[in-house]
Amino acid sequence: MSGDDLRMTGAAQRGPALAIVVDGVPVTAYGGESIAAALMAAGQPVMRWTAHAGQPRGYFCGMGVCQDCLVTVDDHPNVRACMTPVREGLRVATQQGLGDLGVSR
Amino acid sequence: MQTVKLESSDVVVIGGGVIGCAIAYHLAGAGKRVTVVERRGVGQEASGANVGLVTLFSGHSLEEPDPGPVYELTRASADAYATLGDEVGVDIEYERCGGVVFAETEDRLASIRRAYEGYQRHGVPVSWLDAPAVRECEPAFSSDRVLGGVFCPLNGQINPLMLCRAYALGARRRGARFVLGVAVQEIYHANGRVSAVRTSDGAIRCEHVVNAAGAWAAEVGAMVGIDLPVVPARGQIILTEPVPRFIRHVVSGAEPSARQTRRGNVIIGSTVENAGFDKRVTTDTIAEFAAGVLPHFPRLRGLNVIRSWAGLRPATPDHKPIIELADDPEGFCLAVGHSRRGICYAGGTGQLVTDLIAGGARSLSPEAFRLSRFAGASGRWNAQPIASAPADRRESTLMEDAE
Amino acid sequence: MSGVPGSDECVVVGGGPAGLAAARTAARHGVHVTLVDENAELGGQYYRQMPAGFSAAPGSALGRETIEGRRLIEEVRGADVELRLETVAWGIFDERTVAVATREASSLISARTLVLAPGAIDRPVPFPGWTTPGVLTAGGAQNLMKAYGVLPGRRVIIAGSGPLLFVVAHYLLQGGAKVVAICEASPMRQLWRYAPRMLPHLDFVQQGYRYRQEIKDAGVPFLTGHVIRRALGATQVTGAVISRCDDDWSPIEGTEESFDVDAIVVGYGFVSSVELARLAGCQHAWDADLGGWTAVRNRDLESTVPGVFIAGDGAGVAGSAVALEEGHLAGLAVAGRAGRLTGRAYSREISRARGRLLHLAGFRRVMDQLFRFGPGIYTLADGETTLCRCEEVPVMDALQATREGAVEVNEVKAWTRIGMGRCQGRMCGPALAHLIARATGHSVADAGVFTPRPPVKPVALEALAREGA
Repeated sequence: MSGDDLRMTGAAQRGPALAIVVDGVPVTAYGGESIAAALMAAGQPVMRWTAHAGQPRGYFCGMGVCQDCLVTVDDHPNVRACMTPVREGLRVATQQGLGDLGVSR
Repeated sequence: MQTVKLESSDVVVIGGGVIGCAIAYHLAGAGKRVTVVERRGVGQEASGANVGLVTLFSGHSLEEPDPGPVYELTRASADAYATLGDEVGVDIEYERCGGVVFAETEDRLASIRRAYEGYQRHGVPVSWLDAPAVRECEPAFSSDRVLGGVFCPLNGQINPLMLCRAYALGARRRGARFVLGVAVQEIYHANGRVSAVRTSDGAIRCEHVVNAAGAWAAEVGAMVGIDLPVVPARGQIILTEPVPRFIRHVVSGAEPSARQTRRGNVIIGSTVENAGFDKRVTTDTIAEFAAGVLPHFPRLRGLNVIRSWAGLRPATPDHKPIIELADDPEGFCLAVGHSRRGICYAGGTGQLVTDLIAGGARSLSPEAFRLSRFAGASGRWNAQPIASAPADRRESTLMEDAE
Repeated sequence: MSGVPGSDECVVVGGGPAGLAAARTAARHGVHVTLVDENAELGGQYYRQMPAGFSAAPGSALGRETIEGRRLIEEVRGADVELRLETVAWGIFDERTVAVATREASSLISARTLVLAPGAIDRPVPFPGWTTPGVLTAGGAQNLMKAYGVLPGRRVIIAGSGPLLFVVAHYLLQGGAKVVAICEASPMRQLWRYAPRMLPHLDFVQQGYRYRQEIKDAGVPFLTGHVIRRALGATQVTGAVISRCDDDWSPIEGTEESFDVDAIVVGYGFVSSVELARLAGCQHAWDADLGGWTAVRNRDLESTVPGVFIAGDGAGVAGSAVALEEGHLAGLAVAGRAGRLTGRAYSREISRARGRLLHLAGFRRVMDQLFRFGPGIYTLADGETTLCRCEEVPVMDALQATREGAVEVNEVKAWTRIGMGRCQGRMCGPALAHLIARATGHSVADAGVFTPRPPVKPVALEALAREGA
């Protein structure tokens, strides 16, 4: 462990290193990680701010059930960070409230 | 000898849905002692399963192009809702956001035009929209085939669950009692007059009984020998996750339609089906709704469906309610058959029933809501009397046991 | 959506230990199986694998479950099992028609036999500050560490009940985190009384002893009869307050202690995921020891709906060993129904499976007694504590609803929005039922469950509009 990286060194051989962009800032991640794992490893546990009371939320159940780790990914809101793998250049934004309606696909 | 719990009240209202609760609220406000008997909980049936619309001009207007009793009933309800929330201290989320009623066929356009002219003559604020104006009025709505429509600023939406809550809370504060989780088993009506109601938890002596039993109205009517033409008409709805507000108005004109709640969820629905008392949601409907709503509301693309439900509307043959104080048995009042517009009529029904029972000045005319309109030219009040259980003997036993 | 009736012999929903075992056993006897799972890889929670591209570092050992899981997964992949991954089973209709969806399309699968193996979720326990980033469940912490090798924090406190707390501590310590304390809610008194019944299960005992030694050697305080009280920190966790509790897990005022931590792992047992089974019409009964509502099943693990079997933690939380054996038993029953395993061979296999389950039941009973669920845990929340995470509704709103006559979870939901969010009531349902019971004096069972309706998990509107293969 060095600096802010919460990855357990020596625990695993990870996939190739890549960079995702979180709120405009590049963050190191490894191929195969979920967005949540990458954010937690980077010491960034706040993933969204709630709509009603503006409260911070993040990774809680880790299995896609609690719906609290919602982030906006490449302009699509309400993406579960714990269920979504990282990709080179993925743009992640801490979600504010309900997010924007997003791009119509 | 078994002792039976015996209480007394001025009025027993059978049914704790929005109609029963609104009636209790108004009756209690007129000084009556009211007991609402509900076998489940408040607002747990159709009252809590609908889209939540309060529309002054809508599809129903096409059947009554000169606004009449149905319009007045809705107007009275809408006006009541405007202040109810503050009166009781419950946020019923009533929003007069305005409504667009559109047509995609010439026939429908003509019908809307007729109604528009009738409503305009009557002084109801309605504006005509050509096709481009429809789209401009409601940017969330999309249609290549829209021909035109009407905008009515009085149309709005409400949270029907909270509406029930407000009426129930208000009624209780005014002294009404709610007996929940208890079923009505018998209505005593010896000598042509109601006198008591027997429930699974004892009996209640009363002078009036109101049938507000929704889709189960016929069952209750049969207890006093009245055959009611009210049958369940299932309505299914699906619901999306909450998103920022993008649908401005209530949009009517095609099913399924979509309307957005204050929280941001989008309600998509509804069906009108004959499914008996089956409240299950079907896969066919879910697929039809999803496929049917996307062309009209393309921004729904990308949203998740998180819930669905179904309710049983109490449907009459002409979709209009039956609100009437009976001659036989005396003291028995009907407040049934609100069909697709229970939320639109609840406030007005509460007022009308109170006028009928408490003898107040009539603000609304009950003529159009008589049961006899279904009986044909004979004008008989009972379409088909059903023999009821002999009440006298049991009732006197009850009185003997009373403390 | 379309589906050819009876086109699939056996559909298994859930790719964890129970589902994998059921699929493997049924396929072994010649039944064609379709296995549906929401995740991209098989294993569920207990057999969670590392993602593609990850492997064990040289010199480091993979967890025993990971290896065990991989073996079973490979067996299933090599068998006649059609895999539909990243596919959500969102409803069951007409007894054995399963509605499934990917992000793109939805379809109906009609099955002759259906095995539901949806597993369980960590019991969500509301307490002041539980929504703060840095508070996570034991299962969530496990996934982070086992699958991705990421620590939830550097100074961690663990609070909950049961052997899983040791496992979490083990991974944290291995990863170099400081575990400031383990708070076990149960008193764990007089352990010697359980010794005779633990004798047939020495491997579990040995494992437990090893973990216990590890945390002792690391100087981690193991505090029995203690519960989490509060998570401190405005944006993320900066500290934790714990206190002593009584045998029912109710906090004892005046015994609070604070710790500086950056993560709080909470693990107060599990609750079965019963939504799909309920939607299918399977009858459920209340069993507080098994996590609450559990499916009513016969000796073949068949539910009250003919042809629908339920195996594993989804039918009552009994752990992975039981899940594997139940999955196997369900697979045998399915093979029996399909006429692939009959007569003496069938009876022999089934008896063996039932015998092993009986053997495991003894161990389960000890565990259930040692770590007996204490309903007092649901008094940790105060009026301002968020009860419904999705809709941000505090406990006090639920209490107000009960004062107005709401006595059942659906009635409280209607008036407060509790349970109306995206998690569909999973995070708040159990706590709400207990809260209503406490407020009204009625039983927790009478407080009811949220009416099950499709979709039981969020599904894309677009997918519902589009017919899949």
